[in-house]
Amino acid sequence: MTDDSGLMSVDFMTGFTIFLIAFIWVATMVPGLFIGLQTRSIDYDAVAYRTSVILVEDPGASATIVSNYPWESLKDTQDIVRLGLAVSKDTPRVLDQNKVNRFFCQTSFSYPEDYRSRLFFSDYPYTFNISLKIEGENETRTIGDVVPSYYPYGYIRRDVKIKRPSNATIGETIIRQHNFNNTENVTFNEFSIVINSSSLLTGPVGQYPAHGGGAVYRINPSWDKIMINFTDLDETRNKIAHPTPPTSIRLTKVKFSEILGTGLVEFTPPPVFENYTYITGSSEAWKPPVDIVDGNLSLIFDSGFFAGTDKYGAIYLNLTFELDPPQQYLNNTHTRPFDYNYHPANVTQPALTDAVMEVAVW
Amino acid sequence: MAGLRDDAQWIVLMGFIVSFSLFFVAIVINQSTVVGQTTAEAVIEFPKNDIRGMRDMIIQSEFLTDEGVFNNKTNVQNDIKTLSLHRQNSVVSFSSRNPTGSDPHTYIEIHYYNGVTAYNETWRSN
Amino acid sequence: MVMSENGQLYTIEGIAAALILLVTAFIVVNSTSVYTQGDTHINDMQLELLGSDALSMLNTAPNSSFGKSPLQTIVETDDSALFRTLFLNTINNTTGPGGDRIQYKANVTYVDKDGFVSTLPLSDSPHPFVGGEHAVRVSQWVIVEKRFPDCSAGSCSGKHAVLVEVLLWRD
Repeated sequence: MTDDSGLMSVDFMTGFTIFLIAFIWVATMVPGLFIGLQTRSIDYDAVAYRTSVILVEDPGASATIVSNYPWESLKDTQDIVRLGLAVSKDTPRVLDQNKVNRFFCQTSFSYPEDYRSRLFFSDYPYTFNISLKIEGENETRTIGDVVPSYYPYGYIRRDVKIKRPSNATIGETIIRQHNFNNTENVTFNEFSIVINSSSLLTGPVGQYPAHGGGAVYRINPSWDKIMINFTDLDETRNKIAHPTPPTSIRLTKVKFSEILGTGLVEFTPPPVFENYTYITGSSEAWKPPVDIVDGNLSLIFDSGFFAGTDKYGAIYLNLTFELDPPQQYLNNTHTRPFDYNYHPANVTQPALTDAVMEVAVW
Repeated sequence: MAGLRDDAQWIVLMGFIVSFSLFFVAIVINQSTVVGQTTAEAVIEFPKNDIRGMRDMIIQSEFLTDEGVFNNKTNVQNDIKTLSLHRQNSVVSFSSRNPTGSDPHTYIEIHYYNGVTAYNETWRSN
Repeated sequence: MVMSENGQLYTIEGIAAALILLVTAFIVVNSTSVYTQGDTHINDMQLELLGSDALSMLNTAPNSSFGKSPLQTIVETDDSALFRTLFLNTINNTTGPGGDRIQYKANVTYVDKDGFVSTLPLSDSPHPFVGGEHAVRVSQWVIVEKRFPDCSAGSCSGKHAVLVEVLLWRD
């Protein structure tokens, strides 16, 4: 028998049955294959998470040559390596107000290139929207494009606190309390302020013992912005003996020095910070000498001003007021220097405000 | 081929093409989803908050004292070990070295292990 | 059946083709492990992160003059209503208009005087936990000065480390 046509049915049936079984098996798996295509946002969620961690839990970084200075103090964006908003590595979720201000400043960074290279660290050009709503502020701060409504995007939300820097106001009460006015009529009245970095960084903070969980309220002079305001300076004169004010009152010099070893050594702040004096009637910062017109004066030291000083030392500020003709004025040569410390009566302490941040990436 | 017939070979060819293209599509899709999957799982599995919390607690507890009838330091340190074991499935142990004349720092050895992640640190006060 | 010497090659070819198909299908299906949103735990990750953020914010006082965080005070005084207000405000806050709708159930876990772990309910959201929800758990350490229910002697009061544990879900 050589006719093989009869074999067709067996051959066909075996092959076709196995094929059908395989086909049905594969077919049931196919819908599963294409679910993957709709979950493109999975990757974006991961990027959003990573970005939020850099923003909320990292203080950012400056280039090696300027690594002594916090990034928000650097004028040249080329020197900024990473944009993190946290106060320090040890205080996640507590953001520095100055960093936040600089980060959301549209004139300081150009969108999106500056942010992509310092925040996303990826070859893929992610589009993003970062928004921050601070309790008590009407406007939500935002940077980036409008969040898409018709296709998926990666998203994460973080609850944070914003740390407002400390400041001191030396006014009538403090002046009376500490006898900060001279009893002699002199031309040069000296007033000194001490910022004890060592005790600010290692001592107790307000109600918290040294290691008792008060780290978020610490003042770090070498990184934080420090503001010292003077008001009611006119009250330090003896108005009974001299009813008329002097023809000229001028802050001639502010001398900065720090304790190194056992001696007091003068130090020069970086040139970018040389204008730190604010007087009434002028929105600009000046470099001493400046004329005091109405008894008000502000010294604002931006973050990084004291970056070059010893972290565990003490900084002394000596202000010289020149009066013509000589009179009594703000002066503590015979008393103690004003201490910039954790005492709420002396210094308005850093305060934390609630805020919420959202990061969207697509 | 067995049939010794030359026509209809394109069916075989198409079969090959379809199966191979399906194979490569599968690999590509697989890669793109795995990125997000591993990140989210890694975030959940890595006990970052547990470690931060227990580290903070240990450092704070070191500076508590047992005063009078209140065994503050002993109680808190035992609480940390017990609660870590029962509620966070982790073994936590620590020991400290107090400042000596030549070295003004306090040192704390911290160990954490939850079966997957181990964390060791020697903390030094500043 | 009468055996033929010729047709067997066809059968072998058919079986071989079927096997190749099967192997291909197997490799294809094996290499695609497809993950959906639900499988990837992304929602869990987001909720867990937000929860630990919110608890940590509740455990931070607005400035250094308080000495105690709101969360410490809440645990010490069992202030369930204050916890609800603060926690819901924090966790459901968004930068845009409208808020989120996360629900919670909070417990305080402590070590009792015999060294056993016990739990006290602290606070509940308006929609209580019934068990069917897909919830995640977050926790926050706090040191509190509190006398827990089983404690009678003075030596078991004073400071204790406790865990505030919160179950979170969206309804």
